[in-house]
Amino acid sequence: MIRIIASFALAAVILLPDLPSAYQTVDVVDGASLTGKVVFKGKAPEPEKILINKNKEVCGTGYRKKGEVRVSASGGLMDVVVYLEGIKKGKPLSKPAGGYVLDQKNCSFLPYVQVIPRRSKLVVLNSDPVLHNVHTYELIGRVKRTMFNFAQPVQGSKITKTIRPRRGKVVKIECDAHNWMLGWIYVLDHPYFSVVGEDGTFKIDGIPPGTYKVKAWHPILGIKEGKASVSAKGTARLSFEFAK
Amino acid sequence: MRGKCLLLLSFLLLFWSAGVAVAADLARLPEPPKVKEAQAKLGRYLFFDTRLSGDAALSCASCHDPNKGWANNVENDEELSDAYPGSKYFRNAKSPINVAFAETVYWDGRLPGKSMLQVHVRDHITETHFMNMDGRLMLERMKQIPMYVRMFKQAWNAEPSFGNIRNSIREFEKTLVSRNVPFDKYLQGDQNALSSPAKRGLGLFKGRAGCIKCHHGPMLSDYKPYNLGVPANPKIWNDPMRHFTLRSFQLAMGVPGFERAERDVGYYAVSKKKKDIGRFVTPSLREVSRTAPYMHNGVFKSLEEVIEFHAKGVGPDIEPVALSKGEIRELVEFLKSLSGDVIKVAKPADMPEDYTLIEDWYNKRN
Amino acid sequence: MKKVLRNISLSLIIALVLVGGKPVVAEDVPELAPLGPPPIPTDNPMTPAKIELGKMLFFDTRLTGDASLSCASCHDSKAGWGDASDVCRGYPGTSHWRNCQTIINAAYYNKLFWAGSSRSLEAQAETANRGAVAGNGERDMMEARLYQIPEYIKRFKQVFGTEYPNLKDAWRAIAAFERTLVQRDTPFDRYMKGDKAALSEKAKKGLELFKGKANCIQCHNGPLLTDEKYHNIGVPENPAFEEDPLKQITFRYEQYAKGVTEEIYRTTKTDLGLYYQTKRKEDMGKFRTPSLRYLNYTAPYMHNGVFFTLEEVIDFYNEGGGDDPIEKLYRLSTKTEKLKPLNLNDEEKGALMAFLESLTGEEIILAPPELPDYAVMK
Repeated sequence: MIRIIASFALAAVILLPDLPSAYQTVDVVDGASLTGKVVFKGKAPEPEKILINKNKEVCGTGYRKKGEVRVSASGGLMDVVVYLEGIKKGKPLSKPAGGYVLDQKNCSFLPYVQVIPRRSKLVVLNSDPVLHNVHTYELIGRVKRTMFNFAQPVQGSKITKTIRPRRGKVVKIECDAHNWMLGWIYVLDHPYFSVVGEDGTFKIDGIPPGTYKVKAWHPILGIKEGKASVSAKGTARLSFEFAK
Repeated sequence: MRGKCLLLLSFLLLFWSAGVAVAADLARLPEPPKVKEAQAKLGRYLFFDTRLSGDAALSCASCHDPNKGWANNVENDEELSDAYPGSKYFRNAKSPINVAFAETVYWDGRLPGKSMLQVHVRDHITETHFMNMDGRLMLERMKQIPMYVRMFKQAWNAEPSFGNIRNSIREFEKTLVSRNVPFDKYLQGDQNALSSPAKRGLGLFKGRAGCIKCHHGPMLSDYKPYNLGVPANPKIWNDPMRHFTLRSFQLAMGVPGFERAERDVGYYAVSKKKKDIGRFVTPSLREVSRTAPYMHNGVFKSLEEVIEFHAKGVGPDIEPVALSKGEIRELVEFLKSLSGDVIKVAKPADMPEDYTLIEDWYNKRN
Repeated sequence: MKKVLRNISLSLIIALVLVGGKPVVAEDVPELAPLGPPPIPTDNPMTPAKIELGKMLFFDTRLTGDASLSCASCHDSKAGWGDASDVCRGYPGTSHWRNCQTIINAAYYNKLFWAGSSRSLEAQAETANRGAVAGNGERDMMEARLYQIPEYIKRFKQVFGTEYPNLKDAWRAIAAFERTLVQRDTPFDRYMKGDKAALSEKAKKGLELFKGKANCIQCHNGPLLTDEKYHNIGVPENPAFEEDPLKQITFRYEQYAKGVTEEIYRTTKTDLGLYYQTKRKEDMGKFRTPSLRYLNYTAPYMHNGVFFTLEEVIDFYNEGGGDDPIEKLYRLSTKTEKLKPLNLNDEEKGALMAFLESLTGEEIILAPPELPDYAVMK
């Protein structure tokens, strides 16, 4: 009986999430577009101010902001991933030309936010002449579970890992050697997403006509939901507003 | 009767040691020490492996880089060596070339060289401002790399241990000896091994310049501490991280006034005798033309500067001597003849980057 | 006198029951109660200046080997003052091997860490900052860094009267700060003080189960909801140890460093808990009962963080705990006799959950202080 429970817990951890993604590539004729803007209203929460007290030649001096809510002059909220929820088929996945890369440069993670499908390869690059120690966690409710964690002392070193979250979509990236470094991966198994530009705008195209639940995820502020209907070759508009 | 014998013996000893001091001369390097191949090969891997430091940031080669004369170098504006992350070193790293013949190690000579090389290896691995490593964790890291497990088996017929790690690096260090040194060939009778200026430099070295008083023997060092009045390097006191690393070192050594650490006290940290404040152990001059910058704090960038400084006789333990520009050049020519073939050792290309997961963890015997 | 009588009658009952078979009566356990103020050691009195200094040091990464992590890295207020991972992150280049526990109410424990290896918060702070897979700091470097920060020199002098900061005093200040991290105003505390409306009906039913059918109170008792004793409950292994080479390294290292026999080092892959302290076989696999306060924010649970939710924990106990890993290895069962299958139905589990949730009040979030930089010393 006890064994059953234990193995059930194990199954929950291991088996469920590695199910093959249900996404199917099909030809999309009459693909539609969804555009819009994500804005922030109110006073952005204060980021942590962290003193740089090592590797100053590379990381710089003074304080670094961690967990900043970045808002453009026009009120556009940056670092948001806008995506269609639960879309099961459509245009092919689009991988960036150089593959998925997480760079560690001047003691920051670049890019700060990126979207990667499950089971993709991620190249972790250290562009700095100092030790970085990338530590990725998938977030599961309030819990975070280590995906990978390694020291990378050599400048120019590239180490490839597979993105394999089990229960979650959000991957938090920290550097165990520099406590201000922070980055995010949002795991989506389809290509219908957009990481907003510096002004908070987004565009998703090639969408099969229909009505969709649309979500906007921000690493600090969480998730907002919207709904959009797109018609053949049409363009629908949708806005999201985060507030504090 | 017994007392008299002892007295006689000590007279003899005194006479003998005085005789040595008088007869001190230069000598060629002894034959390279015998090296155990498999152990030295393993040591070479370990020398380049950052997993020997606490946070896996540094290897021995980080501060003793074969491409930088096996130390920090002046071309990269590195007067002072790097240190463990979160600290910065307050001295100029020395080259490990010929450490197998050194009487002592470090600028304050606090550890033995020669047959006890594993001692300074241990110190480098565990010292807070060097590699800050817990030896027990280190050996478990080694055991997580199958290639190392095989190499330890081959070299030591044993699994990785802190002792074997130290001894392997010792064996590797024993391979780092100067070969085909012009000066040594000269001593063996090859008159053409030294240029004429170098020969004149040698004459000065042994004669009027008086370098030989401290720089003698096969390593051209008496391994004794002297205060030459080397100017302070402001980079140490202007960089808080270098300053607190010095404070940390003095704290660990029990140097009175370590909280302020207003100067690098040198050999005093070892002896705790007032007369030793500011004294540093005579460095070997072997390979010296490749190990700029110079002095314990890297304050001089060229050999000319170093000789000019010595000639001024600034400190209490050195006499001034008048040297012309030409004589200085000749001395430099001689010093250049103390370097052998360039020792090139590259980081092993097949060094495993990642640890290997142990499968069947619960049933596998460690 | 009264106490003696009560003890006699209790022994009598136990004796009687023993005669009839297994002892099935509840032990005389301390009552649940509202939490009082934390004990303050006489040799480390609390002052506002000391607490403020302790707070700064708690967030300061310079008190570790390579200045990369602080107490707050593994005891993050946004992660329930733990680090929210199953197995704590540890020092760069390593992984830790156990779950980091919350600091909230740590002030009340008589011993710290899962196997009770530390006797005070002061000692715990030092151990955590020095351990090779935690802070990996040495006294010389950590203390010398403090000499280089004028703001700290000033504050240490003000609080401790020393010319230069002393590392022992740093641990004292951190411990003083930690003694402010207590939570005494939960719905449960209000209920125990007489506010009968503080608990929902469901939670009240959960409380009855807690004391009765589920019998959690056997170990989770007193105001802190822990007996502060050590038990083997058969927590399943965390699969992360089969997947992460860094955790395998650390597991061996811990066993090596804790001085087990060679045979244990070579064969045992389960955390032996209290055994590392006592080296008594009967203590193998035993861990200190944790408090249940602040539970809502401190997932994951158990010494190895194997359970991600409270539901999983309740299910685990409902089955009577897990297999005894020690029995499997040593043919010596150290698993507690206290656990039996509980036969709780879903409604009862829900009620128990509601009660457990009442042991947590508002989330305590603290913004890190702005830390002073090093300075050039004249």
